[in-house]
Amino acid sequence: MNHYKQVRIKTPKKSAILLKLNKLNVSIKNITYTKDYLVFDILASDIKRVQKYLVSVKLEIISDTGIYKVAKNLRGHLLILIGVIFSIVIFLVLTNIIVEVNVIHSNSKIRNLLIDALAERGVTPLTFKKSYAEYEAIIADLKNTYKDEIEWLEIDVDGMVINVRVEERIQKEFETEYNNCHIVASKSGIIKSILTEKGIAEVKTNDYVAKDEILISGEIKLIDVIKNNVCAKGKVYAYV
Amino acid sequence: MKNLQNFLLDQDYYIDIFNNCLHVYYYETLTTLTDKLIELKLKEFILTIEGKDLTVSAMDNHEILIKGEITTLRFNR
Repeated sequence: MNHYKQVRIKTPKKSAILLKLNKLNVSIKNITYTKDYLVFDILASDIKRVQKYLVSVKLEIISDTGIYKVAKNLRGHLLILIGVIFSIVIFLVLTNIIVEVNVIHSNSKIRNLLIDALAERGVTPLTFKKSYAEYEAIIADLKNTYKDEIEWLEIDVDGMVINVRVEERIQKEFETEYNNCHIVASKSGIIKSILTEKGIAEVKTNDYVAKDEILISGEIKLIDVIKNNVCAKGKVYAYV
Repeated sequence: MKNLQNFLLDQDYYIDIFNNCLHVYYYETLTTLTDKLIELKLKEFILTIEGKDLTVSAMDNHEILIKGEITTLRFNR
């Protein structure tokens, strides 16, 4: 890029100066004519040659032009520039750093589990925030890894704080429901107590029962006729 | 447009006139310069520009831009 400088020459004979400059084959532009001065931009490399040949007039350098003028102005305000850049960097760092990770759940086991899992995935205090897509990927990964513990998970970025809202997966143990079943003795012994919830008790306290004998029957009978079938339920205690 | 520009740049000279401006490409010397008359020597002729408040706005060794109210252009071969 050509380095032009704005200069001025105090002269009443502006045309004569321009003719001389033309003979010197110098490149000049933005020529303006004021009352006393001829002001123009000249290549910095031509200035010495012009000063050497135009000895009768004084060539004053006013300023740089274009990018050089900007660079010179910036050099003059270097401390301010460094301060502004430093402030921008600090601002960007502070707005993109995590200072706290909160897992919002009443169960400390879930809280600790998620804090550790998030730390493994780079979400810890004093680290940089991640993008929305990265958080989505972490959520999907956590749901997949801890599918028995986590029902639902959300990561909410609130300024410099990461709030993780989680819903614990509660697993219910369902008993197998049979339509028709008996409770039978797993060992031989003497019945000490029997509590029937469903079905008909076939033995009484102090009865001796052999192994595989029906204790509570699922068959509901009325005068030896089966009227209904249920899955027998109850508690039987015996000496064995 | 690019082809036209390349065609013009390949010539010995070319002259543009627009909005009280005269742009001369490939002139040899500036022989006369006043606010009413400017003379440029080109390869094949001398270009005389007459008008009012004529000023040179920019120039280098082969290109010149003249501004002002141009009334006459003359080619002296």
